[in-house]
Amino acid sequence: MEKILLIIPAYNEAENIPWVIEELQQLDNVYDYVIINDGSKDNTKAICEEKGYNYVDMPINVGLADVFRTGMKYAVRHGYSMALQYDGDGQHDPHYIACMVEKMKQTNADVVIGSRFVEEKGCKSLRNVGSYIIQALIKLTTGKRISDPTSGMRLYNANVMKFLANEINMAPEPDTIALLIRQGFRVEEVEVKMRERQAGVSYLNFGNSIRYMMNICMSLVFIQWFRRKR
Amino acid sequence: MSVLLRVILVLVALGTFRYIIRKIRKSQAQIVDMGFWIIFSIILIIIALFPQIAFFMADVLQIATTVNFVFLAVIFLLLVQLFLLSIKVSKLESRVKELAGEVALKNYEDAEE
Repeated sequence: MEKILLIIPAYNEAENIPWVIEELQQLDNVYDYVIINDGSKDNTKAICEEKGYNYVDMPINVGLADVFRTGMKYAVRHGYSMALQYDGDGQHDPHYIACMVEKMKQTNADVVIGSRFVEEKGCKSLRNVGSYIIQALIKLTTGKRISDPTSGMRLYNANVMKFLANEINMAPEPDTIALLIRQGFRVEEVEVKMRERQAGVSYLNFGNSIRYMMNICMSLVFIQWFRRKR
Repeated sequence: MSVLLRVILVLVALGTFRYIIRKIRKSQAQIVDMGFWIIFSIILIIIALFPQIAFFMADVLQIATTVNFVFLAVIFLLLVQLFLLSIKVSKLESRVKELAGEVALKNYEDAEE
């Protein structure tokens, strides 16, 4: 039986964390999880403490990339064989976790992405336009079609976990997916449904979205070519 | 170039050198990192004392005015320094974040016991 860990980054998610965790605990198959509190300014930490959730508390705010990396280290050190990147804002539906695990076992993939658009085309909102551009760039640089590169629901196996835990510049973002493909890791996708964020504020406002797109595109088009192979 | 201007240049260069040395002493910065600034201020003094060097270089490179050569050289030196600094800050940032992660995991393990 494989051991699966859900890595849940949380920055100011006091309103969402309780029901996200409760929803997880109501599943038939109870997964291990770790909340990583990224120096939240609200009472996220107090809630985790009070309800006895399993959480790691970052002493300072370090941003998603390093929160995720810390989660990966946790997973590697506690001997998990799979790790799932899972949002703390309730966008991800835990009922799809089993599908993703199934897909990983079936196809022997190193990474399984929970995609919103494997079958249906996404509606043309601003975020999806960005997603198309990133998709095209990944296709261009790796030759592989990833239908939903910006999806934040990704399952990694032990090989990739070690890689992500030890290397720098391994943010849980589309450019890392492209890098993994070029390094010879196998990436598959599974159809999932996602919900709207239930409470609190998204990190991606308009200005941040533009900056995010710029960074990812720069990274995909220019930087990735100069990175050392494994 | 007038004598007055040269005197001012030499005085400013010497003042800068003194200021940098004093700051380095006080701030207890790593000597390796300050090497650049010491050499930089010595170069300023040398050029102020012997502007012939700048005249000569500008002439060789066919730069119309001497001062343009001085600007070019100083801007280039500063750009290199800025680039090195940028790498250093970036490294520092990733190390701090890495340490933060390790501290968090350590605290978690300690709490578990």
